[in-house]
Amino acid sequence: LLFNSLQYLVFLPTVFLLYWLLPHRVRVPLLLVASYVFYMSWKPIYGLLIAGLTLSNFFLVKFIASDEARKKVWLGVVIAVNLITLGVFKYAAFSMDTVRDGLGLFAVNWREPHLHIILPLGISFFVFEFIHYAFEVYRGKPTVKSLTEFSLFASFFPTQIAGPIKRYQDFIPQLSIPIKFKWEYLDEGMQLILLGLSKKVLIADNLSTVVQAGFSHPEHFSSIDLWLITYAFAFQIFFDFAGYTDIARGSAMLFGYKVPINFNLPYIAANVSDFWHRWHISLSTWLRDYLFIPLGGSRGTKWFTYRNLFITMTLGGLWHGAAMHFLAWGAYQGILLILHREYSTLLEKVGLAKTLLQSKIYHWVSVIVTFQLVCIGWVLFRADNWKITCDMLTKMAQAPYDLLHFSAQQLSVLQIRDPSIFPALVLILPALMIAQFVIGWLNGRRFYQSPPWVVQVGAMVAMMCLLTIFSPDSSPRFIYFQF
Amino acid sequence: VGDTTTYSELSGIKTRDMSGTQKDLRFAAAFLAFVLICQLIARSHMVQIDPLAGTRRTWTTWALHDFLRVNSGAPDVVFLGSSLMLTPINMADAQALHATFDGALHHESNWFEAVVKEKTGSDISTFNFALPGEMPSDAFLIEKDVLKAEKTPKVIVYGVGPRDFMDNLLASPSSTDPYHWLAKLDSSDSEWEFCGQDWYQKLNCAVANAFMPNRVRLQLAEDVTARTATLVDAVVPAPSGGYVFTPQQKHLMMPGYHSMDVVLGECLFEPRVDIHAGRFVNNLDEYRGRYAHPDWDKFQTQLTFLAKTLSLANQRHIQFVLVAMPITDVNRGLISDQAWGAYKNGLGALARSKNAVYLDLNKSADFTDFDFGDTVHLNALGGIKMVKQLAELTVADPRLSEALGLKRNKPKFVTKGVAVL
Repeated sequence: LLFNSLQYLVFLPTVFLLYWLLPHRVRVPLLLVASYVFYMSWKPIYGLLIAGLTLSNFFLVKFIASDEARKKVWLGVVIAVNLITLGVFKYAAFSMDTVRDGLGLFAVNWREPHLHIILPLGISFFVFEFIHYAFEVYRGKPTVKSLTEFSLFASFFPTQIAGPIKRYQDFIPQLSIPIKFKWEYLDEGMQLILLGLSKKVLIADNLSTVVQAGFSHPEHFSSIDLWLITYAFAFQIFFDFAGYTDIARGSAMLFGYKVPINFNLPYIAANVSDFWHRWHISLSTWLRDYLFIPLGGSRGTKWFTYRNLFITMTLGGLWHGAAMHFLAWGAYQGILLILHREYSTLLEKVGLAKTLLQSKIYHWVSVIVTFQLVCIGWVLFRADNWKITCDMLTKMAQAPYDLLHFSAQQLSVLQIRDPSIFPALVLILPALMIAQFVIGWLNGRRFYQSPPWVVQVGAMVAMMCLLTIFSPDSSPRFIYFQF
Repeated sequence: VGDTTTYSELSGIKTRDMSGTQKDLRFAAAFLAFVLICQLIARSHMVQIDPLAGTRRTWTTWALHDFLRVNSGAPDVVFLGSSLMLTPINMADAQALHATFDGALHHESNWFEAVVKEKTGSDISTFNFALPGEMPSDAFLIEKDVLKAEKTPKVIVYGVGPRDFMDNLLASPSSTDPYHWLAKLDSSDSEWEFCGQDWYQKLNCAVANAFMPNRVRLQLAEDVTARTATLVDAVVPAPSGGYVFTPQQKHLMMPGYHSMDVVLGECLFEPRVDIHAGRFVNNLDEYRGRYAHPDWDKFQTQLTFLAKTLSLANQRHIQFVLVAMPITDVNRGLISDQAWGAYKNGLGALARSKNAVYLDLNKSADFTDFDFGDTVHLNALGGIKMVKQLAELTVADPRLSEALGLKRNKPKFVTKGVAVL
């Protein structure tokens, strides 16, 4: 099932009603069954995959806890089981293609076997949850005693397909607390679901039309157009994924469970390191805890730390998909993080006035520069092939010159009047950016944290009306479902 | 990366207050208000429903505009079908009459009229309501809501192909362009039938319609979009003298956006100097996708719509000609024998039971691969043959000729088109 599908509108209320009507002892099994129904409605056979991985991890991790002498070996086994599964389903075809292309460079014509493998939805997310569990038990945390609870941790339908990547210490304890229905669960949950759907249907899906046009035919657009289109993609992917996360969190909240946030106003980050504290938080902290730190983290020389950063981010890029452009995007993020560290060290060495570094002007300039750097990365992430990537980046590099000779006639986005999202970009993009700052400012205010009843109800009514009017026959899939 | 902040701390999971003591029923209040607003909009006639009021022009709205606003009275013969019917009729006219026709505006079959005239001496009028992607569900809506009262034709000729019943690329009967516009004309709350096959879709449809009828929702979306566009035009006007994108470029850049929109001059049907010189387009990959794993619920749904179309024709005393359109052998080869059998048997049985005239052009030896522009669409050569066969059938079949009041003449008519043949 997909969150933005009709089926989910039937599935969710049904499970919600059953959950609160039944006694506490059967609620976890009910959610487990519902989660498997949710997953198997796509491809029933893949229910066996998630069940098999759950059983393997549940029993193998027990050896990590019980066999102190060989716990490292058992950790290796658990990680291998998970990574091999992920590798077969996600990276086998990519590996074969890479080998074929590599051999082709030496004039060796090898026809790779055609693998009919369909990527199981959400595999990257639940495999990472299993690895997290194994690592934590290896580090001395307790194992999960109940197979039912562990199975639900892995398959919990709100977070099953695209996260957030949960931590078992946060999630499992919530399952055993007997709770009574509170209207606030419904209010908070539905508010989040409506907000998430609005982000997806009203913003991300509309921007997708512009992004599709620009990234498929960059030759029709000027350098400034391409920057605008890249900004549009930056907001498309943000609202798409943040919308998904809101629906996931809202769905979990309907059952009284808390799922952590995944985004924290990423485009007001003042540097790349800050960006990764705000973007896909559950992935970035996972990469830090279970890849960067095990690699040695920053416990060594500067170059050792940089090596670890680069490997972590490059593999993080590859996690997004079996394609070279994701690898390049990850490597680019690694290089940015390394450069940021070097830059910070340099500033300290030069002894630049602290007052300058702490000034508001420096902060705003940093935010703008960081956003541009992140957007350059999004070109690597989104472009379908190297030719388009190169064409776009080359053209975008001409923007300073074009800005000096700017005229509105240069902007193709102003010439395409249908759909009106094209010309509206010049209004929407600044508005979305300013909204990030305003929300950042409002976050600490009581009015925003707990708005008046009328405001909350009015916002929900407005979202329901807009979603009813503009609900498309088939909304595009969430971008992160492919990962 | 690199610091020691925990995920829980970053995400605020530990600090978030979820004590849940407030019983303020925010969602319940919002939902109630939403239902009231929907009912108010649906019942107050605040929304003026008119499929032709907007500025958007698709194949469907051009045809509707011509039929309802330009032409008066009813044509004698109406053609229904998908592009399988639209393309050869227009190409035949262009070729046989040596004229160029704009697909957006040309809604007759002049060649059909000419052949009937040549055979009988009678003048008859035609209207071509064949539209790209038209399914039997759309044909039913056209017949039900457009071909009625003083606009009722004497004869309907409906050309169908296997794609009309087994198209995997179509989500539900309500996801076609014709439905989008025709649903606004349909006030009989029959949307339920168009919701799709599975009970999820039907339930959702029932709930959605209970809040706001689909025709109101579609019109509201259209109005809001148009007002938004007007506002954007006022705030961000188009700069003069810039690059102007052609409709083809826009379709290429945005393949999923308003793909059935068509502007004047975008799709011209022109006569060829050498009728045999047309390029053959191999569209097998597209049809592999359409035919793969036949969905029998979808098949049955569309067959049911065809049955309803035939029944309605009987009720309205319209003579019906059901035509199984020819396709190439390679395209036929993509369809399993079971699916092909179900399709052919279904058409034959329906035509018999509803007393319709049935013409199976797949059995005709007249059509060879040279008559096709791709694996399913007839080209000008094939179009001329097909329309001629239809006209000859109309003259020869007593039910049709009687309905149209035709007499039989001796052949005396020669056009440039025939000379080409």
